[in-house]
Amino acid sequence: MEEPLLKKAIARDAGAIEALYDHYAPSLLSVCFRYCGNREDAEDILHDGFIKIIQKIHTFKMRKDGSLEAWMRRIMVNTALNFLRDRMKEKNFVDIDPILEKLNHYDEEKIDEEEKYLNMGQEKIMNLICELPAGYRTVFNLYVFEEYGHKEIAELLQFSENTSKSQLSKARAMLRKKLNQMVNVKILPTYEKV
Amino acid sequence: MKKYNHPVDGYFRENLKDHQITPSDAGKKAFLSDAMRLPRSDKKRRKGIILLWVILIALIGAGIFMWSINSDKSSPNSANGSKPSVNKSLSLTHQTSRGLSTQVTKDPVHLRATSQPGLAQKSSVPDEKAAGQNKAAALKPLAPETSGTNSQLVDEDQIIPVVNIQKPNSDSLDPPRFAVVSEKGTTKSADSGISFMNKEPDSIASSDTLQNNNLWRSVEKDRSWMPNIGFYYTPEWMFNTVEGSKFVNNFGIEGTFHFGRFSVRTGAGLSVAKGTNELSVEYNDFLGAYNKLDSMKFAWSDPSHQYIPTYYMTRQDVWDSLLKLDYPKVIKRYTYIQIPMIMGYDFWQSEKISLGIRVGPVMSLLLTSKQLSEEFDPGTKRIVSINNIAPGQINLNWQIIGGLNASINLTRNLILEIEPCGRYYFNSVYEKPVNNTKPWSLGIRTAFIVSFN
Repeated sequence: MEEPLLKKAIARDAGAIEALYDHYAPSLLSVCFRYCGNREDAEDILHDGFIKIIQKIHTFKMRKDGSLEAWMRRIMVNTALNFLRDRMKEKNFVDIDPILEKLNHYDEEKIDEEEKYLNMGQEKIMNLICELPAGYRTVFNLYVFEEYGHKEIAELLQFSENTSKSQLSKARAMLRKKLNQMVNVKILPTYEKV
Repeated sequence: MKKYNHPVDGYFRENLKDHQITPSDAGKKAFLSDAMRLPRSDKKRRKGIILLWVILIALIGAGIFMWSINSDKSSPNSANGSKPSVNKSLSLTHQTSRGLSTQVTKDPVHLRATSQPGLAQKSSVPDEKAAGQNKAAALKPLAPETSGTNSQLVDEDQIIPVVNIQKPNSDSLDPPRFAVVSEKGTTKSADSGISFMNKEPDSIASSDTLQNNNLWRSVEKDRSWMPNIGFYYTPEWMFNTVEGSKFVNNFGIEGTFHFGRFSVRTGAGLSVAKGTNELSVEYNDFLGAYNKLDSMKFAWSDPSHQYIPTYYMTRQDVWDSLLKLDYPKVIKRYTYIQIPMIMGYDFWQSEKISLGIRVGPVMSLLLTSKQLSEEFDPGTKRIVSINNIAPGQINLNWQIIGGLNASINLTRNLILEIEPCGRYYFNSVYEKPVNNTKPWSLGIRTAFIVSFN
């Protein structure tokens, strides 16, 4: 399906471009949403990303089936990262309050490999990611979904590898805590009742 | 190294693997509308234009080549294979050392094939189909052959140069007389209408030299379609731009086709210029940031008898309200490919120097632009507005160039050309013209040309 569509899209065939959009936009919008955390921004990123895709589509070389989607996804991720950079301006991705950090402290050594979480539906799971602070969310997305290593993430986001590791660890801890909260509250940190 | 597969990672990856969100109709419409307005890729367009020019130049070259060949064939004076370039209409006069005028003519009807010592060439005349037409004949030097006899018969089919020798004074009583030199060096009798009288060895020798020259010219003329090829460099001072005056370096390779006093010059060159993209930026200084508490939530945990607080905060940046103005500059190097099509006319020619005028259009196409200075980075400042004072340079522009050309023959095959010239740009050199004034420039073209003619 990809190759004939691609040829027509390179020739700027309106029907092919629309078909390309209809076919790939839903999954790519999901990617954008995961990075920026809200629908409006995600649609903006999708628009900009798709414009880039159409502009550069003649440079794409088809290797195997599915490579077009991977290529489009990479462009979309880069567009999302640029958007976040512009939005945040400073390199400091972490915008979590120190009090919250202390509250969210979690010892990762005690992870149970067999730990199971409830299947609560894609929308709720997506919302958990969107609720993460931007810095945690970006590192988590790059590591888990794009399967980047810490070195690559560090180069991409221009901070140290240790920062990447630390942010990923904190992102996991927050997500795990939220997942567990939905089941029980036994692992929550303790505060004395006043 | 294999990545550690954390259960949280796996959970999210698995559950969101096929997650999709349907984009809004408004978003789709906006995208389709923008996508249709996108220009085709610059690279493709540039390649297309370059290809068009290459085809055009090749066509012009082929046309000139064909014209050159056809004119050689159709011209009675022209060389045709080994045919010498002399005939009835060609009459060369040469002053001998004794003051005699020697007129050399050659009858093409009898001319079939000749060769010169040291210039052995086979030939054939298309309109002659008689037997033996491809036979090589020798155009022998006249003086030694004709000095001994003046009335020996020769075969009429032989190729015969006719030499008419006459006294310089018109009051001479001697009628014009002719000498015919056969292959064997004999001359035809005067009774048959052709004779040799008043033998003048010097004049005969000089007529022979002329024939030699004609032959060489005919051979050389076969190469006349070949262009003179050379390398040029033109420093150019451009005026009437937003940045004031600019210095531009132009260099490349050109080929020139000559048609008598006229010439056509084309080729390909590069034009390298620095450009400044100047911005006017209004901004507010960054003062700092704080975390603004939006809301907080407390959850009661029964087993541990605790309140669990959750804070919802957003980072708030604070900027100064004072508006400041900055003029950052980004310096770029623009490289254009230039394709000229210059027509020329030489109004004065001598053995060593020729002077002429050159006029024609030049197309400039942006190849690359390299940023030499760092990109403007506002940092933490809040940008209020950015205006382009001097925008980037345009992708394609046309110019007309005119100049006074002086060609100096350094050696037989090497020519130095010096050409003070002026250029007028038909459109602005900027992407978005800030004003309607069009630049003009002055330059001096210097070229070393190799002549193949």
